[in-house]
Amino acid sequence: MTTIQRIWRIKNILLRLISTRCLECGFIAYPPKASCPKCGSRKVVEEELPKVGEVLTYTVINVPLKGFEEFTPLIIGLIKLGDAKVLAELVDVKPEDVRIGMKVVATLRRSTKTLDGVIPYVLKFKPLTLKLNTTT
Amino acid sequence: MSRCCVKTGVVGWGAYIPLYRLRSKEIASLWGFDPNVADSIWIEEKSVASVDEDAITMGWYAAKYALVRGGVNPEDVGAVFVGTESKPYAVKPSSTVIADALGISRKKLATDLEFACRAAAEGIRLAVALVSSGSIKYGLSIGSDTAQASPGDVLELTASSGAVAFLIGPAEESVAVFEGLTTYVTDTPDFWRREGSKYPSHGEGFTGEPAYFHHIISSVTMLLEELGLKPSDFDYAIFHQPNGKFPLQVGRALGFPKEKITPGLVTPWIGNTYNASALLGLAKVLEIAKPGQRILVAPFGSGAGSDAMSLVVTDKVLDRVHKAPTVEELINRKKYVSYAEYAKSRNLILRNVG
Repeated sequence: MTTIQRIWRIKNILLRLISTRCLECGFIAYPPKASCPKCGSRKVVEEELPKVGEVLTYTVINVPLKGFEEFTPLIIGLIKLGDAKVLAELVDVKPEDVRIGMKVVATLRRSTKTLDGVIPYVLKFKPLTLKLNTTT
Repeated sequence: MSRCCVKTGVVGWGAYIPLYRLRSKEIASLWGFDPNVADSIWIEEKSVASVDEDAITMGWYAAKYALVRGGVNPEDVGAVFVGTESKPYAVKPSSTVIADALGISRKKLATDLEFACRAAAEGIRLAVALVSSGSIKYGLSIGSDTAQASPGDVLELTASSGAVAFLIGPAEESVAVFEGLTTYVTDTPDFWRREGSKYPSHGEGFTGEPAYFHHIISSVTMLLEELGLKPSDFDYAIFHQPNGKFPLQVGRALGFPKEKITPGLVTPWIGNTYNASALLGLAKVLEIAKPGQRILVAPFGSGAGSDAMSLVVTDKVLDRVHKAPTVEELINRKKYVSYAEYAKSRNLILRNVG
């Protein structure tokens, strides 16, 4: 479980997928970094990631961390969003139905409670089943 | 046009219906209801929110697509109202979470409204007033509920989950322009939930004539008189939908034929989404309406009150329908769950965890 101070500080990362793009080598870091993890440059700018992507790989957690019991089985996917890669929970899908390459779209959902009882909201991903004319 | 809504309209709309459905006959069978009870109120199935969904997450989805349909920069939205009776927090606004998650300007009004199922309709009236007065350019009103019902209560057949959002703005950018709004409210205790109660209580038959029918008939009659219109002047009529039967009955009492009401019905297939109920019907109608057609929408909230709104559709509607998922698509996209899965996801089972 996390704390209200932490989720408040990183809310733009959790709610809007704010990343950093390196102006030297183009690498996109999520979560955002003060300097590029690839080339070390400090010339980075904040950038909101697209909200539609595809599953690169995933894992299923049947014995969850404390606080995540009600979400079991928990599916964690590595999602390709444009040039970025993001680890996020997959929802509205059974583990046996997840496929590598599956198109997914971001959806705001609750995560487990903080130690203080505040609800952290985060972007999770669900299968893209309806036609969307936007990737934002 | 009445003075309350000069040059304002709906710039964008968005809807959200959870993926999961529970058949009403399964609920009726489990609790030993009369086998015909679901048919008698015309409720086939209801939407069920996931364990990680609530009024904030569903409202976010609907509001996001209202902005997409309107083609409006979130920074230009000056007010966010959330109408809900299932706030995730007793004290802490839902509107601020949704606004921050959408990147809406910090220089805005933001509040949660409570008036049973009609709070979001009042949010529309507030947004219309703010836009009409020139105080803001765009305002969002979101109706979102994970409706509660005590297990075994007849209310459980219909209480469901869903959200809808309307982006209100200048008439020249609108898909439908307001030409009149009226509201009729009284103190009528037909349905309530006391502090600390997990489930609401209701006055059985008292919810019908003195509450639903009296208030909707009053608000619609006031609107027709104010605008000098009659039921035959409208192409569609949408009323609050606690079940599939009441809107047809109130329409008949007001002189609206069934064929003008059924296009806006959603409850028989998703249940009563409370603050999203009639307004999801409006969203559904906007997705089939033609320019020049006139729509009546009359939400109702227990306690009790009703708003009547008249809108005229513009040619801008045609380009915006398919910019986001439609209500029809969201109704048809579904997976069935058992009562046990519903009970788990809606937190009806007490567990000893953590």
